[in-house]
Amino acid sequence: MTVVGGVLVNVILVLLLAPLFEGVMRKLKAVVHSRKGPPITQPYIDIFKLLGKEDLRPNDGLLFRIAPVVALGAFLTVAALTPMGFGPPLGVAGDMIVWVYIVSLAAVAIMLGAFASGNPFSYEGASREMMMLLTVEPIVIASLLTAAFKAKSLVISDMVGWNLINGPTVSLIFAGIAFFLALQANLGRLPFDIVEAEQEIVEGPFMEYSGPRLALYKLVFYVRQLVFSFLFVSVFVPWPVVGSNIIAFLIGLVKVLILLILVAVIDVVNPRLRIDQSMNYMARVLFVAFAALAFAVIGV
Amino acid sequence: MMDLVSRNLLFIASGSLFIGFLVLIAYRGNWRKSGYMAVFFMSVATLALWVLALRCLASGQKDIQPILSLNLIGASLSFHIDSLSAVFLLVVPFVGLLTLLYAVEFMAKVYSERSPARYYPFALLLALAIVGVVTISDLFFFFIFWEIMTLASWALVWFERENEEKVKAAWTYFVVTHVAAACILVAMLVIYRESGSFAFEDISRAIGVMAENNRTLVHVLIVLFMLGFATKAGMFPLGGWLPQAYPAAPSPASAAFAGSMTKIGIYGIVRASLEFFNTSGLLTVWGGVIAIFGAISIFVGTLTALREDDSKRILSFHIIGQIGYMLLGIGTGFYFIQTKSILAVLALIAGLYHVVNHACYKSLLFLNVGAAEYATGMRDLNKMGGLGTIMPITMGAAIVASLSIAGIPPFSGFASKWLIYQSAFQGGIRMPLFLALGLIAMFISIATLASFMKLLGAIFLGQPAECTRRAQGEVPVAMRIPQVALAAVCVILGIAPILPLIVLYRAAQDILGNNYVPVFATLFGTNVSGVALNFGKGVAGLWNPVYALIALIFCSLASLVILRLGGAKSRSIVNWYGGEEHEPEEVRFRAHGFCLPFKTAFSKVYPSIRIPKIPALQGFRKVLDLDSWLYSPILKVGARFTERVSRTHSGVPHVYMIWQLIGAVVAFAILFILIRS
Repeated sequence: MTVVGGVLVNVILVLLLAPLFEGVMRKLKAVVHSRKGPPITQPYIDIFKLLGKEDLRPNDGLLFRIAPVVALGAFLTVAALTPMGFGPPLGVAGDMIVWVYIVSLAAVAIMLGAFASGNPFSYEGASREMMMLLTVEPIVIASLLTAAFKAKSLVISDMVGWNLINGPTVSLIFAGIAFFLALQANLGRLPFDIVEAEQEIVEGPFMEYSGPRLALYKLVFYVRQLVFSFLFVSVFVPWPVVGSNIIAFLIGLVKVLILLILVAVIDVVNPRLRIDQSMNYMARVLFVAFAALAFAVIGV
Repeated sequence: MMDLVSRNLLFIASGSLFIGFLVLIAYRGNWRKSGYMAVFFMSVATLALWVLALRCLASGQKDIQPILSLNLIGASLSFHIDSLSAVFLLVVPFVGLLTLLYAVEFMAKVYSERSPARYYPFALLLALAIVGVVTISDLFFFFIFWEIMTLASWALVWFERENEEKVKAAWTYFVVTHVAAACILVAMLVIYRESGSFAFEDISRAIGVMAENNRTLVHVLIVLFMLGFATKAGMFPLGGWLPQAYPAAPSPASAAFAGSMTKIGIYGIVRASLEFFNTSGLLTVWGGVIAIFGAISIFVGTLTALREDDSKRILSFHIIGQIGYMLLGIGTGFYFIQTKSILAVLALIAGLYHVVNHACYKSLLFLNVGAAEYATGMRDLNKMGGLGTIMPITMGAAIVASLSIAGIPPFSGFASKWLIYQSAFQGGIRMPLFLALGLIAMFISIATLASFMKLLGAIFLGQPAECTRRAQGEVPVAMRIPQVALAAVCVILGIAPILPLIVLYRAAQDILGNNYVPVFATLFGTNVSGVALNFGKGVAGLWNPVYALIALIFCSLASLVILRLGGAKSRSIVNWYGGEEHEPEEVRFRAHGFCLPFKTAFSKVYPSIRIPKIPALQGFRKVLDLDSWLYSPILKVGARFTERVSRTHSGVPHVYMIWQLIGAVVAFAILFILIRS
């Protein structure tokens, strides 16, 4: 029962809060641009409006219709696997490896949906999505594995607990840096919004989606932002130790807000990279992650 | 314990296969009739072998009295069936039967002009040989069955012997596998000199003695066995023949190879190592070596597959990659076998679990690709597209298989890969090398995904290509059933890992000894719906597919509710190509372009091998080749002559007039001479 309740809490919190954070980020970007910007509630309004719009489909196949549903479903499951101030409510279902691969299940859904649409722009977008996954996933795995190695367990709550108690170590700081450097790409933010790239491939995989299905993809985007940020702050910056779950959650929210503000600032002052430039950059970040793992192996 | 029922079951199975072989080689009927006959013989054998395997799993190991004894050399045709054999007896006939059923329609259409006696007898012989290899307990007859297996599969690779390219592939396969077999033969003879008998237990004892007197020799023996078996399995760098040979065989045969024969290499490694060398205590170092080569295989095989655009070549390179996962698991197990830890058992089971999973999804993938070939006659991904609207069942099965091989939860590949990652991670805590190997395995899992996204996107999804219009609906029922059955198995093995784990646990008990293997609940936790690994300090790894699936379904339903919230209407439209009008074919995104920057970054990872040409055989081939020394020269002379004649017919009127003029002059001259005389 506590599991079901916890899952519900996580899923609902993420669904409710994710657009809010996006609104804050948009406002912040407007400030940097010296614009007035939309109200903070704009993402909610966008989603509600899209849910009522006509759904235009170039393909009536099941795959095309189901892809956004599975993508959001996968990310909500991931949300239930993510610690948010308290342990992951769905922790009984899987560990860190499961976390990583359910994220790629969402990517698979996005890519298959893109293929099913039959649009060459979508194919190009899916190809880029795959390449980003290929280059970013190793960094995520290596940095999380560093934390797991220190905790001698792949269970996420053990990883969080170890860092919380045994304090920052050199290896975990390096792993955190690597994870943070790859975070921008995981969230699909500039300079790594290569998959969507509105100006060149018109939203890539999402190009042929409209109306309620596009709304789901927008939710996927917002939820992904929150889930990755929460994982980052829980695993790599879990302090301070607090007794109450609710206070821990609120502190977590503040940390995520700070993190996302950083992300938004990087997003707004950078131009988009080409895919090969991004690969070069990620190769260097991967080196940092390996360094972290090496430090963990020698015990610091 | 001698067991008569088991003996009879084995007789029925092998008898049915052998009679089938004889009948079908003599039978000159059409493809469909021979096909159904083969299916009949195979189903009898499958039934008998399944009963045999289940009996063995239920009531322990079975010994069968020697059927034939060669006392002079100390060899006897005796069988010993333990749970490890039972695992293979469950998987191999199952895959074999389904691929045969598939072959009935496939071969009848695609290869209708060739003789069915080239295919079915050898498919049955292959199954017979594999059954022999996994049940026998005598090295001499093991080698004989091994050789039959190689020859039967070679006959299948050699199926299209009219095609120069395929003959070359078969030739490569023949040479490489025989070099490998020679390694096993040498090892066998060296051991025989010491043991004086070929029975497994005598050999084990002899090697135990050798390990005390002459350790170097034992190391050499291990290397020889590994070379022989790993070549068959396709481990890098010994697997170069595989991407040539497998695509050369007809698709159902490739599926059968992928599902059974490659795995026998793994069986050989496990059996030989644990049966012969476990007592010697030298396995530790070789476990490390196997794990390292496994990781290299994963890396090289999978990244090379990313470069390929031919559907069956992609799958063949992925066999090398996937074999790497199995070797990584098994190697980790061997490395820690002396420590008598949970880890060693777990890693071994993980490797074997991947063997079972791979047998199912890789055969299924070959069947999917074969179905696409059946419908369109095409294997080049760049020219295909949009087959999914016509063949939804094949596409569904292909998606299940692709997600399985890419290790996406909750499909079967994920469960076994997850166990391999766990054992590599826990191994890494004790010996950091394994951490690096595990990292490679995890990274490359995503590269596998890339390859199969490309395959799905290029064959089944997108706008219909020209060759897709040739397809006449979904493939026949006899080709659909095997695909659906294998897809179902992929799903079941994924969401109920406890079922295969129980069987594999029995296998581990039988080969390692009951004392060695801890209680099941200590290994995998008490919750039957999932796996919880405990290495002494609390739960260190968790995967509960049932809970995860429930959560996933719940969350997807929630998304569906959100989707329906606004009550939006839907309308069908055509693709939008940025405001211009194009035919889909003009703007098709070719498979070649998928992940192009990544491919160029990792180009040329797999060095290709060349088999040297042997002069004597080349000469023989030249004599047989009438084209080159008889027909072609005659043809050439004739062609040269007619070419000269045709040069006079230029089609220009003036030239003809000149000819006429010259002709008239000549005629007059002749007339003049005649009249004068």
